[in-house]
Amino acid sequence: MSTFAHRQPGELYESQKLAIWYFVVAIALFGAQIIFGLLLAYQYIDPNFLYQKLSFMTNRTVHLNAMIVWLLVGMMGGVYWFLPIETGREVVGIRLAKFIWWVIVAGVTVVVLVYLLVQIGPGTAFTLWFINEGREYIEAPRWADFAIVAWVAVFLFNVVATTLAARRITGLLGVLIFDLVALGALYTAGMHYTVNVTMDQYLWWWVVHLWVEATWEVLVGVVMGWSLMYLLGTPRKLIETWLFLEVALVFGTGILGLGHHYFWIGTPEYWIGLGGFFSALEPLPLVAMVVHAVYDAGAHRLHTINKPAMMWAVTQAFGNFIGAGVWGFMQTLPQINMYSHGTQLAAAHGHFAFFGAYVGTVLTLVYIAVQNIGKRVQIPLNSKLWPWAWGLLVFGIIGIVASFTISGFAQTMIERAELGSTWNAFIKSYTHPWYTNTHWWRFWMGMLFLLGYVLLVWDLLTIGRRRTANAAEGAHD
Amino acid sequence: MISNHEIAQMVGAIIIYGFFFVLTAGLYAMFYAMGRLFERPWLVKLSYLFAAAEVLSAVGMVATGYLDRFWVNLILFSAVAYLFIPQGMWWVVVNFHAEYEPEEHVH
Repeated sequence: MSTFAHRQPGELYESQKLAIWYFVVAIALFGAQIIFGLLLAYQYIDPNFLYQKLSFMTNRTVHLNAMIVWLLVGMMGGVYWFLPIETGREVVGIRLAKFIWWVIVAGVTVVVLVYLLVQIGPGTAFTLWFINEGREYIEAPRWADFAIVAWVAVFLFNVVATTLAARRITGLLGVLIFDLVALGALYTAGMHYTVNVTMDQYLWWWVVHLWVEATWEVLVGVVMGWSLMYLLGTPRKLIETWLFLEVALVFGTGILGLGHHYFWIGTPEYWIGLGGFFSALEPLPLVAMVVHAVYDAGAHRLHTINKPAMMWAVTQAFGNFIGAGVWGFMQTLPQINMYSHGTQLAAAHGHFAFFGAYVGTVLTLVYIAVQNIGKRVQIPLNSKLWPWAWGLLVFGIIGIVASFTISGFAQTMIERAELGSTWNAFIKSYTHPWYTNTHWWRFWMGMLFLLGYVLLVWDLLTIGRRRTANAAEGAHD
Repeated sequence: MISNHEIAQMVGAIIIYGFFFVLTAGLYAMFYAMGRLFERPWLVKLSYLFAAAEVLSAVGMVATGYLDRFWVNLILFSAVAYLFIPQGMWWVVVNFHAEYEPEEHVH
């Protein structure tokens, strides 16, 4: 008998209906991220493009914020999808969850419109509260910060209250609750106002690093655990034992790995040794996870009930290692980071790590949901289109990352190490062919990525439908 | 006195060796696990080539002479740790599965 079963085809919990909205908005924001990314890529080629209409920095803000929001929304959607299955009951406080969700959707819309409509102006208490807080990645104005904290609090309430009502706490739920407390609390660290830039950056990294390299990784561990139980029938005890090990490894290296952001912001010198030490160890658990990914994928010969979800899960395992591990380590030693930080090597790492660790996760979740929407229950879920979407998205991101890596390498070597960060060095590196030629490369790889996204959306709208329709016609005959 | 040009050469070398250091460690783990899983000894042997490449990359980073003793030791410790991760993890994974796999399948 199944202990982790969905309801009958098309029969969804209210929480899962809400999850579908989360996924719809996540995929829409993914599209927005790509569009604004392409505009950025073209502004590198032609800096006059959209001059005085859309500034590079506003464009970049929307590109980055869209990424953070869609990935977080996608993972939260995954929790709303699996929580009723895990607890065997409807989510407690679902009406409140729906209410806060639409408040957040409206809030995000207002925040983005304000970014676009008020691109230039003075930095005052008013702008901090209502226009742009000015902190990279978390530019949302202060009022939106409070809304985000309220949103995470309601989310936490949903999970805790449902777990209590079900009178059943599993290892996965325990880790999730612990992680969500940290997720919500750490966000508030980015809301402290101080005129001291070092202190500001010190706390700001608690959000940016500890979200991405600690709490998000654990959240991924939980939702991917549920996903593997669904996709491969992996036993719960195995998933939970592995999750505890992963939490220990990720937190063990990731929390003090925070120190690699403290090398050059004015913090005490011991952070160079501390941060460098733990950062150098950060790829170790990622290499260990490669072994487990190979075993899980190979032992089941990729036999699954949902082929695109399985492929994105495998992509997540390897992408996390390559994007976060390989591209992270090569620039994390302080002796190297002194020259490479802030160059496009950092952008290369960011693009690959986010794609590997989080895009793969959210798309796994979305395909699992798609399999259970309406009457589209096809086993195994498959189509001819998804491999093309997958291939273009993966090839596109590799091309984008490669271009960033080459241009970042030129910046590190020429502008920083060789010529010592002078104005002349800046000009020389920014006019070097390794820097200028890769702009075009990045743009066209971005176009391929966009094409992959279009195919992905088309596939999500159609996968499973045709065969289900044929089956229905056959039944009528 | 080391010139900027020499520093740039060392920095560039460490970046490239560092890239291959972790990449080959991952390839070693991947091919080792595949070889054991599918019972293909040639894949396991192939994985050892990547293990050797991983060690050589570590030696390359150290040999630049740009890193002081603390960092040299850290790199060498990591290089040794990467050598044992595939075997260690393989043992863990196989034992986990042997212990828990008989449980009912869940979907």
